[in-house]
Amino acid sequence: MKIHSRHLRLISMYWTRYAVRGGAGLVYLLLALLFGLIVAHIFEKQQEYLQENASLDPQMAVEIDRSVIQWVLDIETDRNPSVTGIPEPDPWTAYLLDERPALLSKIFLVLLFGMPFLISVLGFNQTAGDIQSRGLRYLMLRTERANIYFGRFLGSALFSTIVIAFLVATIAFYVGMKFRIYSAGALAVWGLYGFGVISILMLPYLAVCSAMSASVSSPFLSLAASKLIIVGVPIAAAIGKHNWEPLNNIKYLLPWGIQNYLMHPEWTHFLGAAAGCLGYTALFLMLGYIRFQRRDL
Amino acid sequence: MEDTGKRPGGLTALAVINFILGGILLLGALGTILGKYGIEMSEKAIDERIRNDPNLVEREPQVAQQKEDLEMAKKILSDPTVRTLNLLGLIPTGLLIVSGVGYLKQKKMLGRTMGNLYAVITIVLGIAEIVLIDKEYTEGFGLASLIGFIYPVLTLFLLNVTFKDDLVE
Repeated sequence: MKIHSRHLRLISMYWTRYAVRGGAGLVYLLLALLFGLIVAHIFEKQQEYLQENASLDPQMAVEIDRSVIQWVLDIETDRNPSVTGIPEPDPWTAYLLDERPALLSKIFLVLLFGMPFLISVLGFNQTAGDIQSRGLRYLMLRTERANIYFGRFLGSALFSTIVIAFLVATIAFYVGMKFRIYSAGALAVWGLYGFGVISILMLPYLAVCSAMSASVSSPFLSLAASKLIIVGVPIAAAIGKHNWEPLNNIKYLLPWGIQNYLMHPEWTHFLGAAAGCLGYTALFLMLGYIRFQRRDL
Repeated sequence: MEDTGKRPGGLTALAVINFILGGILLLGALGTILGKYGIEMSEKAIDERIRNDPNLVEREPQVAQQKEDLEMAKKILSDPTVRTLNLLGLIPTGLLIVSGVGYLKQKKMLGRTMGNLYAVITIVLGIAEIVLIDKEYTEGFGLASLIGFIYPVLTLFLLNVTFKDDLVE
């Protein structure tokens, strides 16, 4: 495998700029912004409702959120009563809802779940279209296959990161201006953290798309296969779990089983999940590259 | 790697999005027209139920709430500002579809000019909606209105930067 850093940089930068012109980036940009802002809007309404109805107990609302998040994060709910008799909240939800801006935490959790479903729209046509049209042959006169494959992956990842940065910045800024219940520093730090974890999470799913795109000769087939794998794994795990508990482990075929730990208060858990995501990325990228290297283009 | 004569995939995607959005907005306009009759019919039905059973409101308080909601919807739809803005909203809907055709044919007038016109009118109408409509009827500026500005702002950027040299015929 010969990788030239200059070629890699050139191809990735071109691919980032080309993403919108090519159409895939434009659709991803629109869907990501729409999805992110709609999610934020739903939680905005919830917050407004709480503020407008003074008769509602705010702590009760936090406890409802806590129960939902415990269910989402699969946290055991054996909350031991403390000396005061009030159950102690578990450390994970306490970190997300009490120590950090809760509104942003809830939005990030939904984005962590939903954004992987959108990424295939951006990544499905990294090489499939050019393989189908045989256009890659002209490019291969000037550079190695590895530079094209990894350069386009990096370009797509950069584009996705820019979109996520814009989305998270908009949401954090809006939440700060509208509610004024969190300090600017807390919002900025937590916003940066959320941006970081969502960006890291996109990489393995984008790598799945790279592998699919390199393996089939039709962009449509690549999109369908990427979507089917990314959506199919959690559905298969959820259905399988009801029939036979060990089938729940299907979710570890993709980062679905570890991705929530990116929001964990313990650094060891966070680092483990981040390393896991990067490991999945390397694995899927290499599988795709092996296929791309060997196939007739 | 770029061919200026060939239509870029992004422009095709933009045209398809225009058609989809245009269709949705047309259905919305149709819904507003039909909604008016729907409200009147529902109101008549509730009034008749109350006439037949005078204790209905006491027994089922949600009926009174339904009646109140219908009256509010009727009030909103008969507000002159709302009606004017609804009517003006048909202009960008038409422009969306016309400019979509222009994008596909890569026309300067039909594509770029109409597309820009759609974006500017939508932004102006969006601001007018926030400023002019009674606060009793709307939430004012919020994330919902921000969502409404995404596509026109993006259209302005794409037509005048990304696809500037593709809409020249």
